[in-house]
Amino acid sequence: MKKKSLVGALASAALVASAVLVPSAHAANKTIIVWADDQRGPALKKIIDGNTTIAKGYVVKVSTYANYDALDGAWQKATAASGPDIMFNPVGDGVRYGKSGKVLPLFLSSHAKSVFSKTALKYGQYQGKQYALPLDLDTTSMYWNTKFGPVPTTFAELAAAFKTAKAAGTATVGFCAGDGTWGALPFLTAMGGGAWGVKANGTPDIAKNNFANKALATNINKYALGSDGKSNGLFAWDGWDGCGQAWLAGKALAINTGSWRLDATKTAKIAYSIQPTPTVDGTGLSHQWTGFGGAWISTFADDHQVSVGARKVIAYLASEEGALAYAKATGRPSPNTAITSSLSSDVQGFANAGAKNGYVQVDALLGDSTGGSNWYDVLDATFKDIFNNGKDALTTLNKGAKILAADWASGITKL
Amino acid sequence: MSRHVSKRNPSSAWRHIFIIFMIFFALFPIYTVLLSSVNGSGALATASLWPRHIVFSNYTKLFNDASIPYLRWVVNSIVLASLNAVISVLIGIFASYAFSRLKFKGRKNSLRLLLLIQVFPNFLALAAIYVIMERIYNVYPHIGIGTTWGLLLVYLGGSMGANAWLLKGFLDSIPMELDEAAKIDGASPSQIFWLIFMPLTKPIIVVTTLLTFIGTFNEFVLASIFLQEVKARTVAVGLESFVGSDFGANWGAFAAGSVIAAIPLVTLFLSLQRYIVGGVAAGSVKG
Amino acid sequence: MHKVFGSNFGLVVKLLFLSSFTALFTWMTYLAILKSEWAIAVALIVIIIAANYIYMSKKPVAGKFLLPGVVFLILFMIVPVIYTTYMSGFIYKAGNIITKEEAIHQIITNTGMQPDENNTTYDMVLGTVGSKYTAILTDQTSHQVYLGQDGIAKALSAGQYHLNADGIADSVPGFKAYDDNQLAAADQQISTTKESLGNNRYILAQDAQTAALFIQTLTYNAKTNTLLNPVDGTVYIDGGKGYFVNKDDATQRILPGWRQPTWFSNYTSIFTNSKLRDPFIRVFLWTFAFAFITVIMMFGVGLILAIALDKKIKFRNMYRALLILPYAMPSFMSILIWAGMLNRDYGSVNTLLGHHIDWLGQVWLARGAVLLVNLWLGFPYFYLISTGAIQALPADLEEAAAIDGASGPQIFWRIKLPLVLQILSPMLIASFAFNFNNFNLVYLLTRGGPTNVLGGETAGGTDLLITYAYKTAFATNDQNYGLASAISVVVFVIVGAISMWSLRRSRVLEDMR
Repeated sequence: MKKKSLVGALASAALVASAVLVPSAHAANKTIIVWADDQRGPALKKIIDGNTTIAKGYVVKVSTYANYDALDGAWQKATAASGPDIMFNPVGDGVRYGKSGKVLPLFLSSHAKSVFSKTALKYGQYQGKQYALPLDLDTTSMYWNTKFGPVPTTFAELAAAFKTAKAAGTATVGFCAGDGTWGALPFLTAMGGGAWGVKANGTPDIAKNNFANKALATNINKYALGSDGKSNGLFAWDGWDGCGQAWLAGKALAINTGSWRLDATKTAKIAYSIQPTPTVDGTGLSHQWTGFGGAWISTFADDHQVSVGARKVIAYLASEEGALAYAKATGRPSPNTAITSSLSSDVQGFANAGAKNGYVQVDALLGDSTGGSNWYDVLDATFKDIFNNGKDALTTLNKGAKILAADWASGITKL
Repeated sequence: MSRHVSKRNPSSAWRHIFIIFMIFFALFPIYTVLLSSVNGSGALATASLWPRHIVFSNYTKLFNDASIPYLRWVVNSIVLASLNAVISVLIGIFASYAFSRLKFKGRKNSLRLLLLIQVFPNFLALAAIYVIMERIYNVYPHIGIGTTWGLLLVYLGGSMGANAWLLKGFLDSIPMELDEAAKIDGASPSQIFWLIFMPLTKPIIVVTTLLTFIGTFNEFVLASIFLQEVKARTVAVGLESFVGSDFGANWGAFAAGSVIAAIPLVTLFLSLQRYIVGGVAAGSVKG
Repeated sequence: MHKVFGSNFGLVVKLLFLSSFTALFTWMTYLAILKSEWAIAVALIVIIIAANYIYMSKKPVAGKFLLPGVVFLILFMIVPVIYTTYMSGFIYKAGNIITKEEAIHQIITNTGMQPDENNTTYDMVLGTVGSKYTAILTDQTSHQVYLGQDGIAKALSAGQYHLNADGIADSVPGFKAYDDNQLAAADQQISTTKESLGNNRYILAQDAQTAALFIQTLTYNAKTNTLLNPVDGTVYIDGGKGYFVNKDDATQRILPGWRQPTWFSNYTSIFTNSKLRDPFIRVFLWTFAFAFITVIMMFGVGLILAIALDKKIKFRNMYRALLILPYAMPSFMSILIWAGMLNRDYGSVNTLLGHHIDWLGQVWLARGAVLLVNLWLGFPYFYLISTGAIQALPADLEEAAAIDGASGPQIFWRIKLPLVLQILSPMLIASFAFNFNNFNLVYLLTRGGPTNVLGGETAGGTDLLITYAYKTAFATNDQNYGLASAISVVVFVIVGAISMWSLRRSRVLEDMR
């Protein structure tokens, strides 16, 4: 018995001694941990991963998550032990993040403040402090397949062109919301409907509920429904895997989607032209959601003693050099107006569309489900009832509007 | 086990009809995924049920696209699944031996507790597991949250509940006389276990190892939470990301990835079919 | 040979294992102590002692075999269950995630630090005077220079500092500026640099070159557990719900909040909040029905197949190989493939049938689809275990019954089926419990839908308790871990009770050897 214990004890002692004596791995550079989703992560890998020059004495390490939900879920649970120092996430989360007490306010130079889009900066603010640096603009515009003729100036013309093409058997879809319900706002606004109103200072006016109105219902009945009271194919909202495939096959006249579909469209050899979705009679503007992706510094950066380094990384991304590298790597328009002219004309087109008729995507309103379901689910259910099940448009829209009103009333208190 | 052939069964036509119907049912999804994997449009679109133009772009994409470390995912899954299978079956066989052959205080109650814990889906405790693994990460960054090793530890937590019952059923069927005779010869419980039981339990060990391997290979919820980085993902998490996101479902790549991942599993399964059929059946009888 | 293996060789192996294990764990304990993770350290020490005692002494034979499994079981199963129960007693959601200490720290250093009305900023040069950490600060508009040391900013007059070409003070007598590596090393010191100008005004470093003027609008008094706004005198008290609130108006909260113990309020809200309670009952009924029907279906089909293939018919081996293919396919892939196949617009099921049916969009069709897909996933397993059960029936059973004058169907219904059921009952119960919580199937196939959104419903037609809990907790704007934990505990109690009850009825536990 004694002999046995002795062996164990000796071995233990040796290992413990070696653990104490081996100097703890000497960290030449402190690591700044960056978390991003599957869209931004690969781009950041290209421009800042492993970098030791932006912030001297630090090295940047980028971790990419499977998707936005996984990233957000991990962030919600993260603590100082494994949490990130810099986080890439929609700027629209500003309120939620600011409230959580897990992010640090940013310091932007007056130059940065002057070149970044005011709207973009605004949504990264909470209680007067800037928390997010906006870096990419997520907005959409209409791609028109030019083989179907010149770009229509009204949605009525688009509908007529679709009627002809459908009769000729060359098209199955008129106008495709290429990003599902998120991308369906241009259709609603082109047809006379929409979401909440917008006050003169750019903030949401929820007293104005544009979701249900007679004009929208009338226009849907007139243009988008067939004699059986169901969809005639003019409008499809089943996203990239649905009508998006029809677009790539040259079977859709138009698709409303973002710059992230440029490559696929080019590869499919579709001749396209990009412009905002026309309204039903050509007057006024249609609108689409405009969101911003951006960077945050977490309080964990303080815990990890790298917050000064993290701020240098943010300052780099806010600079023209950094913003341009980021925009080129992601292929998305930048809210940094100083670099707009250096981007491709297609991307510039999206930036202009975003500036001209974008509606800021207020996630606190869109994501609220106090009325039962959130905007996206309400929209999907409404479209299904009208277009698939042939229910009366105005009645269905009104039902949806009621739920949305409750969502917004609750969401606005959280802004 | 002699099965006699019944005399009173003139027609077996219904058997063939029913079986063929079920085979069609079983194979249809497998056919669909094969078809989609050679469809160039990237959609699960099957306008026709026959392939029109067969292209292999979905397959080549998996290996050429730098943003899709598909091979890494396969390797991760295989490493994780093999380790979990081997270790947890060992743990299970140890435990089931104790439950089947040894007398100790609280044996029945422990078995009951094990059964109860088994119905607790550990993903319900996700938030708690997450916190625990974070604290482990704080001390040992290599086995905490975000690492394959950390995930392995969590899987092992469920190993005793998952395998002990099936294995105990099998051990119970080994005649007591065998170990009693050995005991009389002066063998210790450890010797009985290693020299008598291990060889006898080979078939059930093969089965449980394989089933655990497949189960781990399939596991999605925990892996999707734990493995954060793209290159650390398992096949399940990686492939789900092709079709799980709201924008840009890529069924073609998903289908191709599924076919490649499924081939070794199905081959393994079919080649060990004899053991599996016997093992699962034996487990059902004695469990 | 036998003897050698049994005594000496085995002992050496055991010793080698045990001593390296002890060494490794001792080393890990040491690391845990270094990081002050006492819970981990204690757990490790207990494991070391238990392992050494159990494997060194002769007595606890069963322990030798059970220890590895038990350790994992406790650490990664039982502890999480206990921790989940513990978390269910807290207000623990978005906005109330951090601890109170962290929240107070955030409030003092962030919420309660407001930039002054002119947004005054300073160019900052960092270094040391002697060994003292020093910040030289130049006001960007007034060009006044301050010397920040020991938390106090002292105004300097011209001549006391050196100006560089950009008009920024970059040195004072005895000053040595930090280089990049020194700045990186001093990260924490820089980020906490706070030099007082008096009158609740502070200059805070914003990065390594810039600082800005802030006014402290909240201070914390630990004795009274209150916050005070020194500018307007407002007092904020701990409102008991995880926030500091205005003493006179409880709706005025100071953010961030913290996670606050709340005992049973998460549980009571499951049963009193009608938004949670009403769908709960409907979802519970469907969960029960689903688990029951799906087991019956899988078992039924599996049993018929087992009977059909029991006799030596043609192609038996080929049939069997093809029939168990779904069992061999990775199930998460299969479910996702089925989801695509059942899609209304591009699914191959509609292509095959030549129809345009929204399989996953109508409640009853979707429920049917969930059952169908689960049948696909599960029938091979039931086929295999039924085969085993049938083959285990006594060979002379049929002959004996036939002699007694029983017909074929009678033999099946009266004698064989009850016996097979008895043999398989533990499997059926386990399958019931598994399907009761079949998250993957429902989440990957339908996400719980379809939901009657316009009717104001929140639970979908195919939602199981577990997917409903998941949605309630995580798929809303404020992720509520406290509530999610409470629902988890409730689901656990329900499933556990059902399993124990049915096992007791099936007498499995009593029959245990």
